[in-house]
Amino acid sequence: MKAKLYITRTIKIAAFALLSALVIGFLQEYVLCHYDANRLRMDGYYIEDSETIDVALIGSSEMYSGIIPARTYEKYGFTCYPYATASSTAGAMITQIEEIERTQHPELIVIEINAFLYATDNEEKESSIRNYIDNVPLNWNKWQYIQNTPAVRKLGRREFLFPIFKYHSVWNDYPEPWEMLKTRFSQDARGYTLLKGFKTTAAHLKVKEKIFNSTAPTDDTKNNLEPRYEEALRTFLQHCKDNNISNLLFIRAPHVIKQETYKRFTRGNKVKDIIDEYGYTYINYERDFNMMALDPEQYYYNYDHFNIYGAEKFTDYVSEMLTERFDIKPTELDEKHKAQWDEAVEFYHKYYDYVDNYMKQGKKSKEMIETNDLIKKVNEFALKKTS
Amino acid sequence: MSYSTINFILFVLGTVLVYFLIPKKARWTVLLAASVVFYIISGLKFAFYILFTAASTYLIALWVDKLSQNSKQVLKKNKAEWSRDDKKNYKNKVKIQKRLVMSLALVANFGILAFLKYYNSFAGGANDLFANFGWQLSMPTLKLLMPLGISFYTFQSMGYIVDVYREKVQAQKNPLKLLLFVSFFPQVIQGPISMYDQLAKQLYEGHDFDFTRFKYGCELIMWGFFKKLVIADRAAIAITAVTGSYNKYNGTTLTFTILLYALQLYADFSGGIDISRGVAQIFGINMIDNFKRPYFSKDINEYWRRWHISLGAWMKEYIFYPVAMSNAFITASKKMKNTRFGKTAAGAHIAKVLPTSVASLIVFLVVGIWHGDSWKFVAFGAWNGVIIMVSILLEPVFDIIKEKLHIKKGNVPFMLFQMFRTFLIVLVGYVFDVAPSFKQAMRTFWLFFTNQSFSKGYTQISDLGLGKKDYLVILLGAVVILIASLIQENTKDGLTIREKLDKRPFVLRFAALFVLLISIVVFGIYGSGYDAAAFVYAQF
Repeated sequence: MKAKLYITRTIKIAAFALLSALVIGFLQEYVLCHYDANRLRMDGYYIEDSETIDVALIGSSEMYSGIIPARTYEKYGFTCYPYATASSTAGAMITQIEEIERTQHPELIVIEINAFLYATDNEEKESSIRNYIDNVPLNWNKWQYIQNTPAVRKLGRREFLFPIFKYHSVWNDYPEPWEMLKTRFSQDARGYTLLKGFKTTAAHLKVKEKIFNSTAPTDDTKNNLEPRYEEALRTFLQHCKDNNISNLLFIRAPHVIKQETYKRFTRGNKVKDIIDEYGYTYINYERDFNMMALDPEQYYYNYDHFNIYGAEKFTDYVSEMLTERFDIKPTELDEKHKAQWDEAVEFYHKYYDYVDNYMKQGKKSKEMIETNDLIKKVNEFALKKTS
Repeated sequence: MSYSTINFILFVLGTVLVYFLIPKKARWTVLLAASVVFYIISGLKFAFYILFTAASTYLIALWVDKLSQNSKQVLKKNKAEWSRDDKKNYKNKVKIQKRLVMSLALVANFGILAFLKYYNSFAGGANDLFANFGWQLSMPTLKLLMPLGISFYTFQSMGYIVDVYREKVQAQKNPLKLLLFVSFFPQVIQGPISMYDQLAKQLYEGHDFDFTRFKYGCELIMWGFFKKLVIADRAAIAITAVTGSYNKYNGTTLTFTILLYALQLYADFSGGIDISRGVAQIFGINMIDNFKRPYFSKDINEYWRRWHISLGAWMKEYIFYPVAMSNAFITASKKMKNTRFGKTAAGAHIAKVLPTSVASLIVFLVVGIWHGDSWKFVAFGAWNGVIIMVSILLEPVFDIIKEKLHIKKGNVPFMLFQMFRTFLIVLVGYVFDVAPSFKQAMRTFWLFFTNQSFSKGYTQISDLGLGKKDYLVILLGAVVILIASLIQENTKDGLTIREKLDKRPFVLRFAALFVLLISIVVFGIYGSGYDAAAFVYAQF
């Protein structure tokens, strides 16, 4: 009798605990979280089937606004995905590499080195840290990152392990995040994204100050990295070396260099010496600005980021180099994945037309994030155009 | 470590686990260790104060107890030889000795409390006075911080010493056990202030694990969290905004703020007490309830029997009775009775209730002063004291009016009127709490009547850091509390809501607790997105 009572009681408690954990977990993962393009992109990465990405792109906004996965697949045959978040931190690089190795084993990992060039303390910035780690599913790598990152310790590890502590008040923002939430459900249900993490802003840069890109290709000025960033870079390189991670390519995406960012450009020059020390390849595309024939006002939406025209140009330039110099041999995709990527290509074309039309109309700057709403608008636009 | 944090929950879980794992006899040591650790985590630098109180209470109580025991032996020994007068004289002598010894503890401990609470105000006032007289004197102001729960453990300890003095309880011989009574962690921050004979035995005897008790304790903790995190801390955001720039707001906003404060204070304080009682209940310890739905009170006297019950009980036991039953008061009452006025009906009534009413006024002045070192708190105490005093003195007049109006006992509309009237009186008292100073409190009363503008008030209320959805959560939370209170108030079987819920089908119980838990997780004010408010009564 007593045993039966204990068993019933245990089952009831377990049921309550389990249901509570499931509901709270669901709320944390889907409803009460910070929604932005970073979240959708990272979620998109994790829902990609393993062994389907040939080239993984690590870095900051330069990567997801500068390289178009659908275009690399269509024109150069290899798949890629920007495992990148806005203002990504140097301290997250090791975790990012380990996450990529855990999930995809790509042929090549391209790393944009922006995270090491800061003069300000990006490592301590909560938004920069959270843009990445909040969107990584809880696993051993994330646990390690949370335990070992000083800034996270300072901010409170619990809120990183269980983001609901931080974001439970998001209920107050609804219905605003609703569109993102629906998109998340849709892409999870679909099992893949259409733009594969790519995002552009429909706008043209208006250059209002002196720029240094014409002299950049021959400017060998070097400035030291901030000590903490140099240390972070060396730690990262040593980690890769110690773990025999050789499939790495370090790059610096081309920016429109102005007085304010000139020093950052010179630090980008210095990075080469450090990376060379460890035997890895570094390509500084800032120095290829003229070779790519990049007109800032035509190909950029602000000083640091390409618009869709610039992204196409840069994608082609990088892809050619990757296929020729690094001999990227695309994985043979099965029918299912081939169909997915073909759909991505088809959608990208429609997306390009939509963005192109938007920009030609001279409308105000607008972020074009792959939401359900945007997908609908893009498809409607394509339909109207063909009819 | 605040009670409304995850750390506290983990701390309690750890303590519960160890408590029930070790032999029954030694279980009190787990509570002691947990209480010491809790106090140290909450502020090591303040540990000296509580240790001093515990040590002085322990030693003085032993001394007083020894004097009592010795006197009993002496009286027994000289029973045959001593005359009645000898015995009386001896008893008086011992009583004076005991009083003197007891006073050492009272003066030292209340002295520390008073010094920490009032010294800087006193120094400021004295310096102003010196300046007015043109004297070149100055009292330094000091950086004084109030140790955690000092009021509560001081009151509890001093109550114990008085009980030993009155020979109501025997002095505790084990200093560690006394330290546990003084520092028991679920109650050290904000009470309830327990009497030694009610709490001590429960602390020292080991309790077996009881699932029902564990369940009820957890439910009470959850209910406390709901009140504290969902309602009180949310309302605190708006109230803090108002008190931060008090002059900015019109009468409508201030009226709204006072109403919101009534809800916040109740949810905060009673929520905290529910957490404390829930934790204690898991260990098998029943602490007294500090609240009995105070806003349902039909008069202010009843309100104070339902609000902060343990403080009221303490005041009654250790201040009200000693004052009301003192020779001076009884003599004054008798003298009045013998005057010409005392021979009239009104005079006889006044003479009869004079000690009670004046003692009430004194008690409330003490309560007011205890709340803080500002004239506004004195006014808060005086307001309550005077209302009680007048209500006692005019009781026959009210009875006559009720009779003339044919209002019978149990008349529902009249009861509702009484509740509303009492609530208004309570709200007036709250104005002194919320306003930054006595002068501002007076200005608030003026604005209530002269500066009401709903449109301006609406704009101001919308800009207090809370959105419409937050106000909706507060409103729904208040409705939930109201429903729970109505059920509890009208219960005929004497069962608590938890006991009633236990009799319902499993699915209903499951759903109720689940909704409560999710409400706390989603709507609670916690985490770095919010700056959670400290418990209001922890500051006193």
